[in-house]
Amino acid sequence: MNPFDIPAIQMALSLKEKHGGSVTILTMGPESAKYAVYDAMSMGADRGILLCDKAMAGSDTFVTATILGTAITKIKNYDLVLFGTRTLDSDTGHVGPQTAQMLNLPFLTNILSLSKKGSDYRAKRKADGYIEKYELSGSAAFTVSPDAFDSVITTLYEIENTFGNKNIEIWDNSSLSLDDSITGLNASPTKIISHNRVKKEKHCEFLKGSPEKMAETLVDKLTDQGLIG
Amino acid sequence: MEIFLKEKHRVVRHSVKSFAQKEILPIAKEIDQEQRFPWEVVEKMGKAGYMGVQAPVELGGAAMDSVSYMIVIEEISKAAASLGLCASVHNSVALYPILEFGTREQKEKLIPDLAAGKKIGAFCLTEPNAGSDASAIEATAVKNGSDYIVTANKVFVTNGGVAETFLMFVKTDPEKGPAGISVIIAGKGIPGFVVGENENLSGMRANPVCSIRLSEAVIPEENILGKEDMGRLFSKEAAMAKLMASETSSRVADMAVQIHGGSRQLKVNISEKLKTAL
Repeated sequence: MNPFDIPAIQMALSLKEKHGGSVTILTMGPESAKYAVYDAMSMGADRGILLCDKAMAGSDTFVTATILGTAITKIKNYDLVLFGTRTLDSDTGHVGPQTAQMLNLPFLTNILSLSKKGSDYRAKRKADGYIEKYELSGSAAFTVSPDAFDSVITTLYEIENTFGNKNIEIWDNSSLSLDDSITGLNASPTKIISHNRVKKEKHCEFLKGSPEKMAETLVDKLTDQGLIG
Repeated sequence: MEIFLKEKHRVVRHSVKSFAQKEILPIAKEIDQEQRFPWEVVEKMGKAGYMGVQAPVELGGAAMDSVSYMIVIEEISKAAASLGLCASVHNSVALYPILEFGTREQKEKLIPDLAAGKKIGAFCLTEPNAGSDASAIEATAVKNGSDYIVTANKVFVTNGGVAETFLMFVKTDPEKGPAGISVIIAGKGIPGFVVGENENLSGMRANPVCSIRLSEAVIPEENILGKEDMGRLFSKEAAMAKLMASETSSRVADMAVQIHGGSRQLKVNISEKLKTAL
């Protein structure tokens, strides 16, 4: 499972513990992604849905958000949508905000905590050295900071219980009433033109002069590069 | 091998790997150097289900399959082989024989605490004059009314220093040779029960391997595992021990790859050669 999704699941489960309700796990991917949904359900989620269709392959973040938003709309009775901040592979951080936009939901990124008061949500986030507090009215969406929770380990008892008693639903394009022409690589407005590894370059510079002079020069150079001071 | 695993096994691997990286790996070097058995981690292993992987739910176990069990031992062993050794001996040759061959009373009395990791199990076969040749054991259990008088000198007992439930191989009928070997369950602390000093091992030092001696200890007959002469039936340990050794080797190979980064010395790629050799 994408490790950046785990805090979002933990936050959903902690809110469920305090306020009731149910937690649904939603992801888009190939059949092999069922493992990640089961993993999340072992943590305590009630329902797991895999959005899986060959016609979804190669979708960019915009189309992914379209598919996720369509699925969330189909679920209907939701009042909170939580995302991980980003994926482990492409690392764009787009999908949460784009899906919230699709659903026309108020939205915050990278939150550290979330509480519910009546129909409102109160969220805390850290940005630019400040702690910010927000209040959002009604249904809302958030991406959850990786720092929001310590990692939890699912027990073997929870895993066995999940595989013995819970099933994953698989929704394809037809069950979402999506035409194949608007999903997948060909429908994606963003194309990756190239993907090359960045070359790491090392430069070695020998200082000259007395030890005192070299030490002084070294401190200046490190300070100039923002490494000390 | 990963592609052959079912979704459940991949979830098990992810979970146990996360546990091992969070709880075991940070202390692996220290417990090995200090010869310290990390009770604080073993307690968490019990709560996670690792000490009763295949025991039934009604007896406090996780009721998982054998592949899941192997994955648990693999991932723990990658982080600290001494704890993989502890869990494999505990599950395979202490808890499992009781589950498979024990009476209903023995199962109900012993398995819940073993499966929860509240008590550690040990397997006492090796003696100074009997190692791989189990038929050469000299330990005896002589019937005396409704008890047995047990005299035994067991050495290199894995988990010996921390275990409370010991499966002791003894001869109940020396005339029968190997067919007269039985297993009797001894609890730590009974009169005549002596735990030796921990061995100063060259590896897996966090496991308290030691000798266990019983000097005319009186053990009630209901502690015979199953019934007399069932001692030859246990053979699971070897497979698990080999698996643990292979996973420990696998971690060494991975570390070699990280250290050498595929660099070539003397025109030989060390990490690739090591991986191939394993």
